[in-house]
Amino acid sequence: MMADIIQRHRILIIGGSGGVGKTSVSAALGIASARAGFRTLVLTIDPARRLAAALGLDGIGPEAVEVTPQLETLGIQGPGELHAMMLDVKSTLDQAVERYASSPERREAILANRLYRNISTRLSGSQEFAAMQRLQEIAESGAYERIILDTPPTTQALDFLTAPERLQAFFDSSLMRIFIQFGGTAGRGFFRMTDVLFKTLERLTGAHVIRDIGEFFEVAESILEPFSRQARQAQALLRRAETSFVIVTGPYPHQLVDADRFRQKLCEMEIKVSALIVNRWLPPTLAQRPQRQAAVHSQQLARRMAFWALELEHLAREQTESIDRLAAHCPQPVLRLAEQEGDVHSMAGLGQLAKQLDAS
Amino acid sequence: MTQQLLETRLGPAFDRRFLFITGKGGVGKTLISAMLAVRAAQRGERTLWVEMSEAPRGGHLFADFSPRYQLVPVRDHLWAMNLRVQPAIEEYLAVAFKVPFITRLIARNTLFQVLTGALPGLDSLIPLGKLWYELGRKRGRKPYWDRIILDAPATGHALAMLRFPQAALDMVNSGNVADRSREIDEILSDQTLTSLIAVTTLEELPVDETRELVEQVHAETPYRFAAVVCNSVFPDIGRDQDERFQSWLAGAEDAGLIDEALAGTGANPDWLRARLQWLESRRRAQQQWLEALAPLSVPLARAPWIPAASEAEVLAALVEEFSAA
Repeated sequence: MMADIIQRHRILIIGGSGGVGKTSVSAALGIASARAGFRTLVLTIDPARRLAAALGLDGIGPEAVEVTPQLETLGIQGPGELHAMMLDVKSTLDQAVERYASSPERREAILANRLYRNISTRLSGSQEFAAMQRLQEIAESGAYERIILDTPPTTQALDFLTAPERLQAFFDSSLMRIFIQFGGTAGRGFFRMTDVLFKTLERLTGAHVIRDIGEFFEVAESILEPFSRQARQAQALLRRAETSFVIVTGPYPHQLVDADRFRQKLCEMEIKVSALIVNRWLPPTLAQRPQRQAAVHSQQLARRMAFWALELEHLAREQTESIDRLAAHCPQPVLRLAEQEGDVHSMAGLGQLAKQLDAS
Repeated sequence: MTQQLLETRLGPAFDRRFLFITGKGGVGKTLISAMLAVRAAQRGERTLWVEMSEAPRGGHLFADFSPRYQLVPVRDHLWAMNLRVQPAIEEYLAVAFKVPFITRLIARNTLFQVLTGALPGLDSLIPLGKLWYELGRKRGRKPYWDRIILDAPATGHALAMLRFPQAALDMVNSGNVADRSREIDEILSDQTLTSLIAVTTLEELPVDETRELVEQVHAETPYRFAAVVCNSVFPDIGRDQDERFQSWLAGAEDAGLIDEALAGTGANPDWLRARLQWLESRRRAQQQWLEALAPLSVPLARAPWIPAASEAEVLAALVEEFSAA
């Protein structure tokens, strides 16, 4: 199933809540794709140190690193290649400003503006916007046959999708245009609402902030048009036939509910989802539902052993039943990756995960 | 020996009136804060549990409860609210500037929202100001709340919140922002009133983030973390008979032990060994990350791993675990 999905899509976007193992699954998909013979790039954001080390990404800048030689330890040879790249999302927003600012003075003014600094690092979704932008550049370059994007770890996974629209809305808002037109503070008093708004902000925060805002609006004009254009292109990229989402989730009921809600949202937005991957699933290993026991704090070793083994079995069944329920109503395939005993943050561990994906 | 790093019981840090609880997303911060709130309420303390989330989880934890900005009773002695920034700003504008007619109009304006969201610290100042108000409320001569438990934002945003009062006071020393900042600074500095608590799981990324958070807060602010809660700690099954347990796990026969353990279960020894080997390998991996927290010199508390699928069940088990002591 997964092998088929990789065959059919050039761009896979891996989404889901934080802490479910998105980055590991993205790396494993990259291995599966390289094994299938594709020149593959895994784009990731802030991976765990040991995972980064496994991918050859420790302590480097936003340059692609070839991981193909390490694949030999997994017995993978042949035409496929695996490359990995760490996204530096903060600098990508700055890159956009650098590219689109009309003059060096304007560029410096934007980059040094305190309001811009705050927006670029804090405005929810700006990270995601930067990730989309980078994805698009790489997709256009045609340098890779398969691109796997590991999205930022956010609880609001939808930020990723609405970020371009929200940023665009910010720059497009009619009030924003009024400010730009009348040059920030120069426009004060011209429009009643604007005046009240500024006065309130000033009382809240002090005059220096108002100066920053005025300056920001003055320079923002020059990046407004290119920004909007790029946002529209990003939206189009998400809806191409060659692009698909894969949602990663944990095996617990509340995580499955979140993943299902995300899937529905994507479908409403007419963005294709090709699979849900349940990571860290604990498969049941007894034929029958076990009788649970009390006595966690038992002084007897044998009782403690029985208690915990049976509790694990019980948990495995509850997880499996929740996953079965999701799979029953979900139109997309729901794939399961079992918990691994060894270290998943190693080339061998990722290889195991890739094998499970290939077999699913 | 590593087990001794952890307090099995909750220390005095957890008995202060204001608990500020943060941690990396996904480590169980909300569950731990809810457990502390239920535990306090069960003792008869008038308790306020505060979430700060665009996607609050309280509805999953408590039956017949849906989180909102307004205070709602959850169960006996327990009230809850979801302290979102936008309604807090609306309220603040109405109270502080006495301009109720236009406040809504202003606060709901998209541009104003984006600007306040982007302005340095306003999203830290105003919610903390609301908590300052609740902490100061009185019921007769006594405080209105015996305990306020804040499920604060995840580490990055929490760090910004904790940096804010000092940063603001460095920039301005009079006016509205300075006054509010001073009030909040007093609360956060008062170690008889407030405990900063970080929640983590014993895994690479959460431990790294927790270390960075604690080190940065201690280096850049006068505030101090009172405890780190290690959540989801796997059980030490061997305990005083660890040698016997380990040698069986490694493959030795121990018919006496296994017959007793499996009696009445209908399961076989290989199943038992596979399950417990998995658990033990996880526990060992956790112990390694526990060592990485020791240099922080902040008291470590432990919350056990609860093998249940539903969050409400996990909460109930945690409450039972910590109420027993």
